[in-house]
Amino acid sequence: MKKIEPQHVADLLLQETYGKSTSECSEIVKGVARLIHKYRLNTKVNEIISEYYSLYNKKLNIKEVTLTLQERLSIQRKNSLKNELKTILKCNDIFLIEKVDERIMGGIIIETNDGIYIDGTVKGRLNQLREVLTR
Amino acid sequence: MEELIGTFHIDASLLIAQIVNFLIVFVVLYFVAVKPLRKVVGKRQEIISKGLSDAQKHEKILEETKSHYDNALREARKEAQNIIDEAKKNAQIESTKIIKEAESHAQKISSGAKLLLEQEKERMLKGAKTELADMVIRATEKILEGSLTKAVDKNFVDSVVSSTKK
Repeated sequence: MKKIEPQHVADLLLQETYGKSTSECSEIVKGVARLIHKYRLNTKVNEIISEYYSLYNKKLNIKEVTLTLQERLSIQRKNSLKNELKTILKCNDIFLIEKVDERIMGGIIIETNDGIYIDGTVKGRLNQLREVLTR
Repeated sequence: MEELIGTFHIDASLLIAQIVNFLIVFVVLYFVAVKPLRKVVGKRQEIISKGLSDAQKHEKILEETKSHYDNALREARKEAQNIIDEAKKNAQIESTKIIKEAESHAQKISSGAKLLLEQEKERMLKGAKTELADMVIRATEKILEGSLTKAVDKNFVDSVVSSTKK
């Protein structure tokens, strides 16, 4: 019997549910749940969900962006940044995750799920300055 | 003849007896004295000639020995000279080698000391730089703590985002 991996299940789920109505999706999900049980993948449900999100975001060109700031953003500011990031990252939508870290002393860290990392914090600049001074 | 015999009162029988006597004495003397004496003299002569011959032989041997000795002495002197020359040469090579090694060792010590000095200098410089950097960073942090308002932070974030566009 061929071994079923979480990626296979996530891919199947996406193919089957994409563009379908909620009631249809509900039936499909039930079927996939039975499949998970049959193939004893119960312990890998979180991995399947994560993989599903990843495939879904890729299909719809949605990027997951984590912003680290010194203070929580206002809704207006968050939307404004989201729009700017959509243009910058050339994607249809942004799934924004906000983190607060006082140690950064101001500025922002932009991190995407596809490996982009921009450190625009005061702490980061000070670290750069330290490196220049000690070189 | 008879006159002669009468003049000199020669008695023929006495004469014959004397001749026979003489012959007997001569024969006896010949066998008892002359022959052994001649034998002794012959032996003596033989010994003397042998002695002379031996002396000549010995002289020859002596000559040869002397020649050998001279040759050996000459060879030994030559050999000794060669050994001395070789020893001198080796000593020269050895001394040159020792001098070179000593120079190399001294060079290494000097290089090592220089390197240590450089490393120490580098370490001290790095330490000083780190300390200075820490001081600068701490001072900057203190300044920024008071001056980084929300408006400034917003502008900073905006500048980061707009620089990302480029």
